[in-house]
Amino acid sequence: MKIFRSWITALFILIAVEFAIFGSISPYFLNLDNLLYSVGDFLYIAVAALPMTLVIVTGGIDISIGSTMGLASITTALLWYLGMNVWLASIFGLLSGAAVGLLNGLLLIITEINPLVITLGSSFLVAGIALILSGLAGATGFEGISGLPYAFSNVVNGTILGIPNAVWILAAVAILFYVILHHTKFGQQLFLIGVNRHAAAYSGIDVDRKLVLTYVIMGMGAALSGILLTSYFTSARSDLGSDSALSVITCVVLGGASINGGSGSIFGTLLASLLIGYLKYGLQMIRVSAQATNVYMGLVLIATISGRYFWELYSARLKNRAATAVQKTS
Amino acid sequence: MQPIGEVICVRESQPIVELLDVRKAFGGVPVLSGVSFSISKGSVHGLIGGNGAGKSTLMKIMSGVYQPDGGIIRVEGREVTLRSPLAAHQRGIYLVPQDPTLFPDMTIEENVLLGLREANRRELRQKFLELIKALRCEFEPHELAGEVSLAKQQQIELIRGLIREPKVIILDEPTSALTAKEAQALFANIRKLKAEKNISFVYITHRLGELFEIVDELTVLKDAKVVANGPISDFTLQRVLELMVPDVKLTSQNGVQQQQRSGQLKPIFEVRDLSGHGFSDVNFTVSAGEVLTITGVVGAGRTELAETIFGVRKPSKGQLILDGREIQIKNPRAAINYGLAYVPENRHLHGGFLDSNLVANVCSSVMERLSAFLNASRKQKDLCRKTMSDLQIKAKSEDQLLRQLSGGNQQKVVLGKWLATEPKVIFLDEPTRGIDANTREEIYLNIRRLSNAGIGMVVISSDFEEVSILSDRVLVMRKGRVVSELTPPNINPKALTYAAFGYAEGEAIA
Amino acid sequence: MKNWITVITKRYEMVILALLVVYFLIISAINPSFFSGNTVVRIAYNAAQLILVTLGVSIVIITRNIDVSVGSLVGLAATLGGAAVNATMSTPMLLLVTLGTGLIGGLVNGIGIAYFGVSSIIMTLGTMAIFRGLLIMYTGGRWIQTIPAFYIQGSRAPFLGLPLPIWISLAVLVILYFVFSRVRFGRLFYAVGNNAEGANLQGMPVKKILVMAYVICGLLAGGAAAIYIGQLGAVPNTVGIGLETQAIAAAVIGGVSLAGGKGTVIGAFIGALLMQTVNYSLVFLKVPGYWNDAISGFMLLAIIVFSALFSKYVQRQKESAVDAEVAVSAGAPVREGVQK
Repeated sequence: MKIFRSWITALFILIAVEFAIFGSISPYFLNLDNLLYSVGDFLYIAVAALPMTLVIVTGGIDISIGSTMGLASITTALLWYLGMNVWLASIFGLLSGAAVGLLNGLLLIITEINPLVITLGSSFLVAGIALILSGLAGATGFEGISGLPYAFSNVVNGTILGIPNAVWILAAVAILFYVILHHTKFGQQLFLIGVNRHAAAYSGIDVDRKLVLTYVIMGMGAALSGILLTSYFTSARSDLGSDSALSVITCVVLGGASINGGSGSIFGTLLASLLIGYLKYGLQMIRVSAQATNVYMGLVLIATISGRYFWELYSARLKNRAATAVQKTS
Repeated sequence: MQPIGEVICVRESQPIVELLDVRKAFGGVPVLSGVSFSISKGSVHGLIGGNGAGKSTLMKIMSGVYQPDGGIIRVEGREVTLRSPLAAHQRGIYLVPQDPTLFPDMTIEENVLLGLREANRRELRQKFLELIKALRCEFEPHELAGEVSLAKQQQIELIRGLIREPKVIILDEPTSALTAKEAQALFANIRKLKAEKNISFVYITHRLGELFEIVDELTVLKDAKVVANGPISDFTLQRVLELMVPDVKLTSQNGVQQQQRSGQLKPIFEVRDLSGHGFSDVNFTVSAGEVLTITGVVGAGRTELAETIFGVRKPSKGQLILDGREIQIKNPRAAINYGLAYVPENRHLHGGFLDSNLVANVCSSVMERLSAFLNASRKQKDLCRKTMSDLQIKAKSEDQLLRQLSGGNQQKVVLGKWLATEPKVIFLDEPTRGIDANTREEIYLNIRRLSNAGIGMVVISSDFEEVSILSDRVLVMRKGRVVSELTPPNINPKALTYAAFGYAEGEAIA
Repeated sequence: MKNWITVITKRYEMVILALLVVYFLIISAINPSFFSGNTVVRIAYNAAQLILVTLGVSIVIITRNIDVSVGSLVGLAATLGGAAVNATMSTPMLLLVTLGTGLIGGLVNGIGIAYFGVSSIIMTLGTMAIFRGLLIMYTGGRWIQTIPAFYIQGSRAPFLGLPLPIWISLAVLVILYFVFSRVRFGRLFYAVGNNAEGANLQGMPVKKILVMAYVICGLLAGGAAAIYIGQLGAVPNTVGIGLETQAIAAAVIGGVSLAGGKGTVIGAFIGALLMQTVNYSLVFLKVPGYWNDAISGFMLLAIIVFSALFSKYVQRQKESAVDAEVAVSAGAPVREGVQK
């Protein structure tokens, strides 16, 4: 608990520092309108990071989300292209994500193989399927399907009460997952599964079912992400979001979750998403290329985990030295 | 400088290893608070003590696995820092662990020889084969280590130590899975190595009888400190027991309660012709107000039996009857709903959520019941608090992590979690393994109390002393079958040992 | 009935080799022109890169770790190597740069995992992005369009009738086989993978071995890059994408267990050949390019599922054998003196 609170505080400080640095480099950065509108840029990362928190809390991981985003994007656009109502098509897009999650979850419980490897494989399978689907629409290769209806693109690009929809959507999804993870039985059980899977099974928790459900939720979250991206760009591509797994996982880990499972927080993930999102935005503003940004993302991820490792090592050592020193005087 | 404490040498020569004021803490909890003693050359140095953690931590420090938070270690008079197991090996100290840490998919030969760095592999192989003969091991070098029995794996671990011809070999509970004959063979080898090669041994055990057979000097640990130290001739069994557990009023009280257990018993749960992985054709009945113990040696099939009843494994045949009705248990959830509880053997692996708080732990089995969808945090907190007071769990608050509690209190939390399910029958698998004597007493009292309250209690234990204290009735299992049933006044360690090891084995460990 | 289980577990390499042959024959049945010596040579030639990367990844997997950055590392090494040979016109320079990049990349991974407390998943996920980002930054997104002709010819030079890359992959296989099956040093990797804690207790230098595993993997990735440059004659900025999935799939097909401690380099070699044969056959049968990824992914999943189900099946067989023993052997008969 104590570590958690100080982690959140650290995140707040980091955000403040980040804003200070970027703000001093460029005055446009601190412009409130710019800040709000730029949420649309990284909305897809944040929306995927929230359900990813659930997955990581159970001790798992899902690197197929990038491909799922593409699949959902293409599925939605393809169905619309073939004449379906765009909203209905979006529902099918969500379902395609659920299907991917179902595949991942079932494979996980049947084979008991490391979820990294399972989702590595499904990542390629799903990307391939998305590619095939886009081929069917005549949008061969990586060209997109564009021309989606205005109302659809307005989902992300519009405003309500003067605030960009992206902000409303992020808030809504964050609240939803906050309730799921921290205020439902289901969420509590996910933590238990992550802390000690065997004990959870012995306690009568249906571990298999909960895990499958978690991955289905993840799949749908990734699908939602992909659909929001499609709305943002007003066009669909099968490789939409293909690089996002790294950033998403970084957000969750940076938000305080342990990669081994058992701990994590939606609020932390949210803050970390803002931190990462605005980092990207700021780097873009000072004209750092997208590739360099990826390099920085990788470094941030590694530095976060490594930092946490050394911190835990160091603080344990201090605690133990203190405990044994106290003994001497007594 | 602070006084170090008495260091007694049995022989004239300089001690081979000295520990001075060694300190170690985990998670802010001191496990060793200034331990000092020395080990003489060519002697067998016994080390006993209540709570398992102190002894094994000490041994891990001596063998380079952990680093102490304070204190000094000297080997042959020179101060050393043992940063890794390799460093300890190079200084001549080797630890033979209690639980084998072999490479299951590699051959036995590789398991033994791979860790050695000498260039002359042929000579090593020769030594290896000689040791196999000397210890009368019954395995081939090319067999895979993962496919032999636990006892053989322990022998392999021993060979790993002996082949290095270290100055000090630490044996951590070496006889825990051995038969009487094998234990005697081990002792013979220890004596031989002592005499021929002047090797010292640190001998950790909880089998106090063994001390007087093989040990030359003894150190007794209690509450993270040394409470007694000296040649074995200074000790008697009585004195040793008193040193370890002075505030225990053993047997008498519980024995009295045992006798009052006559009269009609109401059967709650019956097992008929149950067979499954690791056991076959098991029959027994559990009654309200009765403490039934199932005992036997490791591998007798008791845990497998309990796990099958509880729904973790599927039986191949047999029936389960609760309150007169036959029931099917497909999974743990079903077992819990019927009113069965299973407190598993290794609390860290199966029972407790170390990195979750007490509320989560206590409510982990009843979450489904307490609320429909949202978590019922107030109900959960109340339940946790009630459990904590009922079982006298010592903790700062219900928000603490399980990891932060002492071993005994952790076990209580796990017990409390199961009580929260309002069970009709509770299965306890080795409930006091590795727990200090005071908490052990409390657990025994709780078991009695629960039994008096009408819950059927089934305790699985391989500690014959414990079985003698607790049981109203004992089932002895051997190789997957129930071989005998004992009732008072025939419940005593000797009778249990005979039955557990099989009369055919001849002389048993008294 | 028992026999086929023993065969699969003890002689797994034979089984996959058989699978490879069977697949080859099936495709040949569909399109007879597939069945020719030329096909075999082509497959072996094209497989050289995948083989090297697969062998490297296998070593890492044997230590119970993973490396998803190999594809990007090959890409980075190929990019830098291509630039080097264009600038200096020197083959030794190209080799120095590609192998050097691989070595450094592997070293970074190994040190991060062994000494900085980062799990292999996260570390290599991070370096995957870093390596790829670096390579695109270096080229500004452009491709390296040309490679000096002398190198292209040289890297394909036939030796005893077969192109050089085939010999290279065989040579590497022989060396690795020798080191990992016959030399103590290599066996340590298996020990670490089987039980890292146990290896530590035996005084083995676990951390150094982990670093070594990644260094070897990185070097082989560098080697694969050197071959790649010669084979393609250009370096696109998409080089290496998906290579890690193929390599891991090939390793798993080859019997290298993801749990560590099991599997052989020979099996990995055959697994890579099998993957390459499948890839080649798809091209041969004119299956559209964008089906490749889907098929790779599908194959990886299929292999994983089957090998997991198979292990479970074997486990169940073993358990029921033990149970049969228990049921048959009576426990020690009850003696009079013991009962009441």
